Amino acid sequence: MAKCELEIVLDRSDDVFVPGEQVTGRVEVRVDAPCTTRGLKLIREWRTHGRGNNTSGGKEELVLFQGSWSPGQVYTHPFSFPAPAGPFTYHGHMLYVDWYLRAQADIPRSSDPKVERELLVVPNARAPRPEPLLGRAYSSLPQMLEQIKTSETARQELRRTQQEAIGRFRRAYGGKISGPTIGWKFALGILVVGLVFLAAGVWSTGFGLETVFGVIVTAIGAWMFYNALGNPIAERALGAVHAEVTPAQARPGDTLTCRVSFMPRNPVEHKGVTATLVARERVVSGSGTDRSEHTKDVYTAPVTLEEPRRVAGGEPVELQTPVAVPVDAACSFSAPDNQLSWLVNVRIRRANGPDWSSDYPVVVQP
Amino acid sequence: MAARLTLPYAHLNLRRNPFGELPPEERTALAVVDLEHFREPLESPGFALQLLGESGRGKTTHLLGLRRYFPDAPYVRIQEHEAPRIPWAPLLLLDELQHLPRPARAVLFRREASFAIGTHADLGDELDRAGVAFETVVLRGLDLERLRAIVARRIEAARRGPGPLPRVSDPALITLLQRHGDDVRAMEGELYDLFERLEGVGDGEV
Repeated sequence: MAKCELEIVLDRSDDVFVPGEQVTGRVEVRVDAPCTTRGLKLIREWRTHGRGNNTSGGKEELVLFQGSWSPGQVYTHPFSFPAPAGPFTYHGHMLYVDWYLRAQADIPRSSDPKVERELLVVPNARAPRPEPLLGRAYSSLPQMLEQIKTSETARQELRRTQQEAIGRFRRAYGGKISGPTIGWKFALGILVVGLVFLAAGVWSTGFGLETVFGVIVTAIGAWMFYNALGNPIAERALGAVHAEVTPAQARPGDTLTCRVSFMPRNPVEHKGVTATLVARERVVSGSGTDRSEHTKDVYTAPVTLEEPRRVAGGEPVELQTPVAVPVDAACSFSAPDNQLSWLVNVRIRRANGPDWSSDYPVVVQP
Repeated sequence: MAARLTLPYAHLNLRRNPFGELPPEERTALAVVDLEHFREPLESPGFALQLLGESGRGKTTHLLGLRRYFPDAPYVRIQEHEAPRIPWAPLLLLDELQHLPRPARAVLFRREASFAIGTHADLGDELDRAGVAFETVVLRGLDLERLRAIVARRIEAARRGPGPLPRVSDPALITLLQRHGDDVRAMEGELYDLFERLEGVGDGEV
């Protein structure tokens, strides 16, 4: 049984703070029996909750009091600290990020009373724009990665100034840069399984149940494999496709620019070119054989670059569109097993054959 | 993108979604398990409690539930293709022990310790050969009463303040049992989505 009860009272009632703003309040201690504390601590930290494994960080402690409390009294211990710079409070679907204030009294030979409450930390829309993470040499992540691969100068420059930037990009995006959504190896595996069943079915029963199963699995595998190789197949018809989204870092309310260009060798018909801004939650629960990954797109805004049409052979197609980041966009967040990332998916829908599709990550920061 | 920012789940009188992932210490506190009668044999070396079951049946929850009686017992989850460092302790809580290679298990069982084991594969023969007395609990089956207790405890643990809380009705629990059998993890996933959709305190239907 605890000898005292704690309560955290903030001076402001709305619980919402911007970075650097002073958080003031008090810890009230109602004492039932004489007790001495080795330390009344106020701990602040952020934690994730939701479907993913819980992660925490940014822990800081203030010792508000050490000494004795007498029964029947209510003691007040004021505190004041600047609101943290981030991460910002985020309430999504599978991912929640919250800041917590926890008061905890270390009382010898007794259970330690503690109490906790949330603190809402939001970006300051009027804060000056920070220095961009990426230098001017790179207009997008794919371009930056390409230059890193090919240029020693770029590698040195990256090592000197932008190591952190690419790390943040990769963490925010979970390592995936662009490309088809279904792994070609997985699709090939399904195709092989289907063919094995088909061959076994024909060998043993002629046209029995196994053969039918084999035909179905083979068809599914072939379709998946065809789609998994989507971009190379699509580029045989469209020619090399160049796409970029700039800048790769934006504030809520900013406008990105998406450019797409291609030139088919022969006439080709497309069913529309789109750029879709997506905010994607990606969380992991469990580990080992119980590990599950969950993703959910919590914001999707498609923009049409071009309506469906027939493109003549040798005709250069150069498209450009603004992509608006919403004013109330949540900031990118990346912690182990918990991510909120923004990306622009560029898609050229084809009348015949798989679409050309690629993702371009965008870091949203205040 | 987001509505006006308020305290999370305040509209449900909760602090978080009750069916989200829990940190291990909270999972320990909320485990609806009955392992009291294994407390005494696990206090002496040379005894093993083997918890056998498929994924989502509560092996980890039972192991962590033992921490109520043995708060200092180390919990080690063994990942596939990894060689974990298993500490020396009077009682070891070993999850996914089937991933540890058989020779390493043989060495482990020779330790002067007791073991609580979560496993998909029956390791009874190996424990026998190592001279370790053991009991096996097969985690299978879930009735309405136990599911009701699990759900109620999870919701109560997420309480924000005094007053009513959302409930999951018995017909909804029966539907979950029919849909998922004894797979508690699958039910948690469905209940998580249900609580994300709830707009106020009341009965949740699946």
